[in-house]
Amino acid sequence: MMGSVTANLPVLIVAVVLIASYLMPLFARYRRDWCAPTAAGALVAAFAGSAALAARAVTGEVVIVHLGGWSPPWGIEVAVDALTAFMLLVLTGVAMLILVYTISDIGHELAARAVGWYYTSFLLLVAAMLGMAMARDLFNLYVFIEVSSIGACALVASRDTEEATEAAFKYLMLAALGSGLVLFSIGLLYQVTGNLNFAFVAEELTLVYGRYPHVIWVAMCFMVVGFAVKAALFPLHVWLPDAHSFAPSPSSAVLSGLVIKIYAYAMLRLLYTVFGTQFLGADLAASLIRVTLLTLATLSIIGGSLFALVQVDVKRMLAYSSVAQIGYVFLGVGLATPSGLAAALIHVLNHALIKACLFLAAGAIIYRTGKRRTVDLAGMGRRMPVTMAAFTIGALAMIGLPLFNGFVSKWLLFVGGMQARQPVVAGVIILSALLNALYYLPIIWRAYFTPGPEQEESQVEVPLPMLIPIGVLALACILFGVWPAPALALVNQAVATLVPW
Amino acid sequence: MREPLRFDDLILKEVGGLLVPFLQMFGVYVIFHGHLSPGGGFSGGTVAGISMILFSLVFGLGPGLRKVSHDATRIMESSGTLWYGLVGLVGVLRGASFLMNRGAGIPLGTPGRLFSGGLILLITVGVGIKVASAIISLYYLIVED
Repeated sequence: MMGSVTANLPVLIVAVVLIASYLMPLFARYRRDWCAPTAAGALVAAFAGSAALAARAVTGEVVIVHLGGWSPPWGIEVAVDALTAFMLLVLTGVAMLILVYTISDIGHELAARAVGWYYTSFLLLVAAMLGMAMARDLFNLYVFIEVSSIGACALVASRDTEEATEAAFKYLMLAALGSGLVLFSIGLLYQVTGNLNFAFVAEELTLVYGRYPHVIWVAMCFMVVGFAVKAALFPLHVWLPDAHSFAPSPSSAVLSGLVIKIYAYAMLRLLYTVFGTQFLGADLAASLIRVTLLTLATLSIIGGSLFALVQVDVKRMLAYSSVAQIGYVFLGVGLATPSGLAAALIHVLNHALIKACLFLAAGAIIYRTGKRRTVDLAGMGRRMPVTMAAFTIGALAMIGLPLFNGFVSKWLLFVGGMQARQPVVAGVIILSALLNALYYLPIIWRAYFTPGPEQEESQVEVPLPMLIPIGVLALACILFGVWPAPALALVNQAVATLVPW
Repeated sequence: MREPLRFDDLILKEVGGLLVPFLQMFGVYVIFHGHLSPGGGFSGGTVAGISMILFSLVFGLGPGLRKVSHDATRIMESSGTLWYGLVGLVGVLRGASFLMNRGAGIPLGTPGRLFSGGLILLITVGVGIKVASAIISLYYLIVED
């Protein structure tokens, strides 16, 4: 039996989280205090499983499971290579920390009857993202995309205020548009190749590319635009600021930190393993798509930062900052060089840690003081020293100072831009670091060096179960800044398997 | 409780009362023959769920809720999906792959008989329960709002 557990580990990771998610409504009704420990236990188990898989994947091993024993192209294939293992670790690790924070925070943010459903949708979302990371089948991927959209919208709507409902509705519509475009693309691919399994589609595409180049280009465009909507690339980001700022703080952390990344991952995976040569080729369409990706990513980086600059609400500012940061990931994908890709992937990890840390810290400040406006944070460094220290670490990492993890991804991206002979990219990165500094530093300055109102001198630190995840995330930002080697080992392995340069 | 949607009509009540058990029977039939004939957990579950919608439309939401309460739909929804997951794990427990049927040593029986096809019947039942309760609770949600 032990052997079958190890062989089925990828499926079991998803199954454990899904089963825990189905248990939540029952527990919420009959055993309310069982909800949180079960949810946390499921995510810890999933994290342990992902770590075990990563240990195997880092050596270049690929764990393949055929569901029900049916081999592709008929059966559903699930596989964990270095790239998937990396995503699994990021997803489960950050989701686990956010869940620990949620346990103390959520009763404060939601009505009591909504708490059980909150855990349900949280776990459903995490399970869907894990499924997306390991899917090797276009339709399977699509199903998980839809499940994750529903889970994410439910997390936004859980607040049950007017703004949150409106934001969730907007999100639902645009997410449906995004998945509709992806479905068009899948339909076109199925028409020209007759397969849904990634490997079979990729093989077939190289054979039929000469006959149906236009169909394949259109499929590629639909794919890119669909995922760009869902990952909130700049001109298509309109749903994100509302959804991420009106949601409860743990939702914002998981939406900004993980959900938009998994769509970027899905696009990367499809562009590189399914389209492969069609995306990397030298013909006009392929280069146009790459240039479009680079342009949108650049617009995203600059535009997101400019919008963030003028926000007065902390969570809204962080949301716009996510638009800018997802631009880095797309920039790396569009560069299509080894270090560009490595930068995109390592930034998925780094931004997940940083943004989760920042959103949870902002949430902690709101939890204690109810202050959402950046100008109201004066004197906060004295009132909530640990939270504010974590916020500061996150903000410095976001700017990309050396010794913080943001520096590693920006440096790799800089090198990637130079390697791809795109000095503009290097310029954009420097400009963006300055813009980031422009909106993060004033908050830190105000929190530490501007005295707050007289009557608010006492310390109001949040309870320990909320502080621990924030602290761990902040320490992880520093750890991966000074010692990125373990993450880079997995990422380099992933890049090597993605495209054999 | 307010009765939002109700048609007080003798013919409707008589015909509705007669139809409901047959609808439920047919739903269960479709679910149980999912591995033999067209249909299965989803379509059978929809038919079975719709019987309760008809009941609530004809006799009112109150009597409907007395037959199938919110707690009942909640339990059915969760347990239907849980059952699916647990049946999937049988394969792993028997040392084979997730959701595996014959390969995990499950006897398949005679093709064409009701109790054949190994785990497929069990899974269809789970799906049927889930879909039926989801249809009912969706109706409750819309009507009670």
